[in-house]
Amino acid sequence: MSQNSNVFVEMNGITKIFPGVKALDDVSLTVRRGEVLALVGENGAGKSTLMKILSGLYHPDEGEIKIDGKAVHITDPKRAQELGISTIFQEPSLAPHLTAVQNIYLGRELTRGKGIRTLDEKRMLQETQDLYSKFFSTLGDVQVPVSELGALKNRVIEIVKALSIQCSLVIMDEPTAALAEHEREVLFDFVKMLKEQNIAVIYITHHLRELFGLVDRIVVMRDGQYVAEVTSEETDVDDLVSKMVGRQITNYVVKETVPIGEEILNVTNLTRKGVIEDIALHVRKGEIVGLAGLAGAGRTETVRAIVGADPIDSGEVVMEGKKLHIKTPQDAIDAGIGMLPENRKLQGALIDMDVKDNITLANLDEVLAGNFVLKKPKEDKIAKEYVERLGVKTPSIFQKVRSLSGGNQQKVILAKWLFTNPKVLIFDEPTQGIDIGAKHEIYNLIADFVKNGGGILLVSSELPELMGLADRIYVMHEGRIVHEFTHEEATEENITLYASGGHE
Amino acid sequence: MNNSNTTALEATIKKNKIDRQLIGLVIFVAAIMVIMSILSPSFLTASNLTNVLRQSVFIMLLGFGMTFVLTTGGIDLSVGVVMALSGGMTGWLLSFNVNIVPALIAGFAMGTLVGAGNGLMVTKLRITPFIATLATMSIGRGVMYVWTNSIPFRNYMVGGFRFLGQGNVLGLQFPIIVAIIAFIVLQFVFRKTRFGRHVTAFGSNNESAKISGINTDRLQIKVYALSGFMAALSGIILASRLETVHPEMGKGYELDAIAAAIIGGTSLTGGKGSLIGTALGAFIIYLISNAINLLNVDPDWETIVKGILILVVVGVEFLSHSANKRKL
Repeated sequence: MSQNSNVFVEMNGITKIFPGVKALDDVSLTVRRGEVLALVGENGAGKSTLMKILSGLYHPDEGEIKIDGKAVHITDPKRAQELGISTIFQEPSLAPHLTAVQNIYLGRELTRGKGIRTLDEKRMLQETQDLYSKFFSTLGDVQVPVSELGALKNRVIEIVKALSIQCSLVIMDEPTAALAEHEREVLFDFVKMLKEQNIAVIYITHHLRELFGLVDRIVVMRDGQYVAEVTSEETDVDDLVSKMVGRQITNYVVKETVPIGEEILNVTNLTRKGVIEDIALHVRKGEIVGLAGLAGAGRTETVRAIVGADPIDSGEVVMEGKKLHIKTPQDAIDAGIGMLPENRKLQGALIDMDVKDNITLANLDEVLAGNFVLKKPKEDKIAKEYVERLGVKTPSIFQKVRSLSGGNQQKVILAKWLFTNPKVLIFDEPTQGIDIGAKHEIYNLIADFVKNGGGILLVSSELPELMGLADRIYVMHEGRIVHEFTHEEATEENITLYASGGHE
Repeated sequence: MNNSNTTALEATIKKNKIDRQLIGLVIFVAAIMVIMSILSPSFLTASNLTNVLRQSVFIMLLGFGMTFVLTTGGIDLSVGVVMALSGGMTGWLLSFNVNIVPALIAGFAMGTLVGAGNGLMVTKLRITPFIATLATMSIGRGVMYVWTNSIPFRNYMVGGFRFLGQGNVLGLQFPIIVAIIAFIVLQFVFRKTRFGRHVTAFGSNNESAKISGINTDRLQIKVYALSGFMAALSGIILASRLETVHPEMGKGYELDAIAAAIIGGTSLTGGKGSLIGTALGAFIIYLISNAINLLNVDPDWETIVKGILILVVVGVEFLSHSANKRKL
């Protein structure tokens, strides 16, 4: 098919202004039928805003959108769907109380009967099963509330939901964010299949490696503006990164050598029945220890068990030779263990409170006068100190955390934990959904922490990150630690092998 | 986790499992029945139990509408006063010898419009439901005093109107029949129609409903209008039953309606509602008051027991929920 004549969407001169920010500045974008177009850029580059305009959630202040050559107004998400545009949003967007079937058909439920129309549950279930069997080998639990399913299954449901709409264009905003390596492969197969069916895909990701071999064109955005367009043949990761940030970043992750000291944290026989089994691991001073595994392998569950966020059936946690009795996260904090959880918005930050409140929250005792009253000047001073030290980009310490970018939210959470003077910090997916520039800043902060004698336990689904940072890597599979690699031994291939149970 | 090919049949069966909270409530009712039948011979009689049911009808009808509102994550504090406004409107018109049909229509229109007004405040003015309906409650009560001049409406009991609150069909009191019909219709709407599905979805995740193309403003306005309509139904029947509309009619009923819904397993945070639960909840509230009455216990204990019951129900739900989570 001819590539040039087959234009589906044309966005011309799109400008979008939010109070105080020009989110999009005269951006134009063309999407042809059946092509896979990648949209890359740092957080805040305007990718998601541009896509929200295309899916009817935002309305542009200037510019026009043409579909099949005709100017259209995409007034709301329903209109976008009618025009053949379907979106998988970055933020989880399922209704937790509803089942997969109910979510997939939400807003366009099948009905039957004349006059009073009733929901046709049978047909919706049947068609969902057909959809699943078209895209997946196995059928998920389509009849239980999605809140009872894990992050991956939820993602899959969102994908099926988007694909179930008769569409000519699927927008995928970071579809792989919550997925493990082999699950990403499954997603890439969908993308290729959509392409074969002449359905266009706009693909937004921070995982630049994913793009090669998958996409036809790559459009780079920066600070709300269009920067460049390249084909995947004529570029590589370093080149894309430099276009995104406007400067050259060489090595992906730089490992600094830090002398390893004595053992700080030692976990033995940690078991939570049916979830994790007989976990043993240790972290030493100056050491970064990685925890690798596929989604559902029990990594998050392991760290949650260590800090007392989930109950355990057995197990011993020893901190600097002293046996701990951790029942709640507060006990862990008191013992010097801090955890930055997986889901920033839900668990890590109080997004409707300001930067200062978030930073001092976990250690309010430090800023109390007479055990009761908050010493505001001291609080402000401490907050300012951390904001400067960690380079949090915020107009002031009184800014609501909600309005910060993902990377800066993560820094605020990190500041909160540093303020508790921890000996061990546990990171669960610290750079998920964070742009490359901010990622490197987080890496540097991690390095600073271990240089000062701290220990780090790092859970990450991004293997290059894990292999680049960690001194040792434990690999988990089905709730157990199945192997331990040193920094030198670890390769993407052998970690993946153990993580997928391939060694057995 | 069951990941294998679940067949359509198995999946459909799974759907039919009954909420454990409902089972708990039924056991609770059964326990009261057994204990009370031992303690008081007049408890377990058809006349006593239908009497309890008839008393609970008014809260039940409000509770049905409230269940929809709570499932969206909202709340409607104005239903008590809407009862008075609607019952008052119909009674007032009847007292001027207006035909019963337009009088009833005016009563229902009053309730539905006040409800829709709540919905407009919540959606278009973005006032939180609690505050919007609190304001309506206060204004409405004031209107009742001004309108009635603090003298209750009377002398409106034309023959046909008496039937609504005091009539019998096949030996069942008419208010009970109204409640049964309302339950069947609303259960159908809640479980079998798009509207019902959207109500649950919106309460579960507003964003999700919005990006799925649901007109969420219209949805909420409809839900508050429905609540107003149900309050009107309850108020008009109560006006017929009491033969007088006092300006304070329905005062405090909104809290009982909320209590009935919560006892029945409807979540205050939205996304989860049960009309059967609400019906049971309303019944239980009056069953307790009946039991206390028959046992010659000081009636002041009634609200204490009601409060404890709410705490126990919500507490048990929370504990079983977290136990469930641990299993996963």
